[in-house]
Amino acid sequence: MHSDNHMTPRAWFAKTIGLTILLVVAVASLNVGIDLYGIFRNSQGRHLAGYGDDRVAKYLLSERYVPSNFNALVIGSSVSANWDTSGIDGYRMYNESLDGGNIVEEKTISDRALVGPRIKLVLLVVHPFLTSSHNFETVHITSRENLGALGSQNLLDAYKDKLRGHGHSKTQTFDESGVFVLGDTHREMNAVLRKVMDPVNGFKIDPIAFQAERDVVAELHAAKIAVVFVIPPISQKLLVSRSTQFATYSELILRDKADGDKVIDFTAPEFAEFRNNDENFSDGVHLTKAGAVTAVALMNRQLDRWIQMGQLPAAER
Amino acid sequence: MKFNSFAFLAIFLPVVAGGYAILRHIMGARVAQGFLLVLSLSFYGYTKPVYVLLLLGSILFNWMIAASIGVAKRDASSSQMASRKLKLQLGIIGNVLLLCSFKYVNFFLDHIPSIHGMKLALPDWSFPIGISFFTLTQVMYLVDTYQGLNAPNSLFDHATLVSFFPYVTSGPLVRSRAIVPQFKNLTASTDRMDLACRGLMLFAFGLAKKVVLADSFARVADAGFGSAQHFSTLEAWIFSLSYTFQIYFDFSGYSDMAVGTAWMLGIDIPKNFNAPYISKSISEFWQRWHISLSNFITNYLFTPMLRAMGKATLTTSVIAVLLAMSIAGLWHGPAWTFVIFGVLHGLALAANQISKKKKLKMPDWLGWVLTFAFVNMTFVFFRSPTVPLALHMLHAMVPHAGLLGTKELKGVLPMTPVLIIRPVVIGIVLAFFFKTSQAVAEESAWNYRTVAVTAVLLGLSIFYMNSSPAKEFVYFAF
Repeated sequence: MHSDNHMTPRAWFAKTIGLTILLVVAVASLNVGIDLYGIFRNSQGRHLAGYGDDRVAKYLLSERYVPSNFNALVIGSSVSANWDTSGIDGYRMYNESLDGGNIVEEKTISDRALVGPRIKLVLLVVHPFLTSSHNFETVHITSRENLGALGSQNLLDAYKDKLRGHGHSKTQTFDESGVFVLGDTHREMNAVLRKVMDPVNGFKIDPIAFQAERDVVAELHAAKIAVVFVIPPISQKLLVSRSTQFATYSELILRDKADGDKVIDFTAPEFAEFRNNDENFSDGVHLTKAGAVTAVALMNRQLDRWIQMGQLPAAER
Repeated sequence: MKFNSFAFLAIFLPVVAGGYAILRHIMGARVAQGFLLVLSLSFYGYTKPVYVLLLLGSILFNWMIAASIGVAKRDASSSQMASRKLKLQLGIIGNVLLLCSFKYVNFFLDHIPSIHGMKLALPDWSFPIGISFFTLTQVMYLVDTYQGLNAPNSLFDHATLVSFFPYVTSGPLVRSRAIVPQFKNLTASTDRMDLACRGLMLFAFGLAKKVVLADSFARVADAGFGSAQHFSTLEAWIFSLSYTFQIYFDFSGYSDMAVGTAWMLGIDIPKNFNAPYISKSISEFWQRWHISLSNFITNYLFTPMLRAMGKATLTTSVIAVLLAMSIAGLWHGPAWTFVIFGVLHGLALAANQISKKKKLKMPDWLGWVLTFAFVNMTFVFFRSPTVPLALHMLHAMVPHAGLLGTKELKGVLPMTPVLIIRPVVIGIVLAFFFKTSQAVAEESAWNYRTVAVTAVLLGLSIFYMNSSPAKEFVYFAF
């Protein structure tokens, strides 16, 4: 018998298993109570910004928080990630765009928000980047993220970010309407984007991603959700050498456009002034904060016109 | 099924441990053994049920061969001895053929030059998990039966021995005479409870080694070995050392969980690791690393080869060790990287033998440095998908113009303290300065401190398991 034994093996075994279960239950209960992503209870009226991994955060927020508090979505890549659409008239719009996201990732996230009947309108921002790959770039999001919300490294990182920010917005990944803050500094287009938007060989289209984009459109149509295709802005300098490719790409995407669907095409002549203003762009593709404000205002005006004309459903804000 | 999955932890393990204990108590050892056999087969077939048929076929084949070899008799006639030897050879050939069909056919066909521009069509066979382990276990069983070290098992005992879930997928390799009697043995319940507690503690150590440490090192190693970028010397060493620690914590973590699970059932299986990275020579390393495979290489490859060569001289033993280690390297998988790994270790062991023979000595610290550096270098071959990529990494490890740069590392990984410093510090402390987990579990007392340590380790591991999908154990691929 060991001299330091204070209990029988049977008692030790029971206490060890009991304490383990207690620890696990305590951590899980604490996280259910805090409910950072609004998945464990009704989250109507809550204001939940995203902390921790952006994909995981948007995936979890899309389960209850987004359908409870919003009636319109923006689906897109980083090109539309910093568009603050919360002020769009007639809708409470949540931006589901992901920084560096493709349509397969977007579909995984937005499918959750579209389950309920509350979403009336979707702005589908169809930049070539969205359909250039189908790989999950950082985490492969699955329904196991719900288990992660009971206690995981991502959740711990999210708490740390939130506590470091003392409730301010500087450490959040995106705000309560899903809007990212992207840098305003003027820079070169990154290598991945340059490759996707190759002016010589044409835009890269991944067949799986393209099919996923078609599936998203089909699902929206099946659910009778109004769809507005948005061909996002690009600086005039970059558009000049890629105008044919953009036209071909837009035509391909818009083949799935149904009769009631609308299109806002920022590559059209009417938006030339916007495209010619370099202050609107950080790298020629992504918008600066001021550029995003202008672009959203332009879209707002167009959406409002369609609502007035009865061509888009007017939802309660 | 993986040990580091919730299905195993929350359902399988409690059911099998609880059910086995209750059945042993109420209905006796044989009924409990039957329960264990059924659940072991379910464990093996969890991801791909069809491979249970392969496992059962292999069990049946080896049981029949062993039964026909029969009990060794002192007064056996020469024809009887020849017949037994022939059956043993048939059994070994059968096992080697099974292993080759799944592991090596593609490798060899791929190296047959194309004839008239035509390439041989390669069969697309997926790899049954654990085949290397249950095949070697049965080769050992056949040889031991032939040598009279154990009597042939009943089919029931043999099937339980081979399919026993703690070791069927990744070892340790076991000998029949050490395990089978334990299925029938009814030791006092207090002793079994004591062993079960030590098993739970060892399992907690192993699980934490795998999900907290090994998987953290894996993220760094995977980033480095996944690309052929031009790394600085520092980066190349960080990547290679990360893999060296990953494989240790991964495989020793698995082994701890295997031994711990078996202890929870009251069955003692051999340990597989004994602080290998403190070794001061390569021969000491192989006495501490994957001990059950080392024993197999020594007893079933090296020694028979040496005997076959007649006189045991320095030359013959060097040749035998080179051959044995090359085969051991190839056993890991059908790739030249594994062959080179085996050959390099064979050469190092041969050099070790020569230096011992010539009574050459070196300070302990120098022995440790050389051994660890050599092991780390050979693991570069072990981890790399191709020989050129391994050479690329080794070349980067040699000091060159970019000595301390971290640009590539930052490109593939966020350089957070959590990601880099925590596992490195904990890993180094555990691997170099701490007692082995098995020694800690064997010596622990039953008090609140050990309750807290074990519960916190289990809780922490569950937290990590819940953070990302379970990663495969490295040795599941072999």
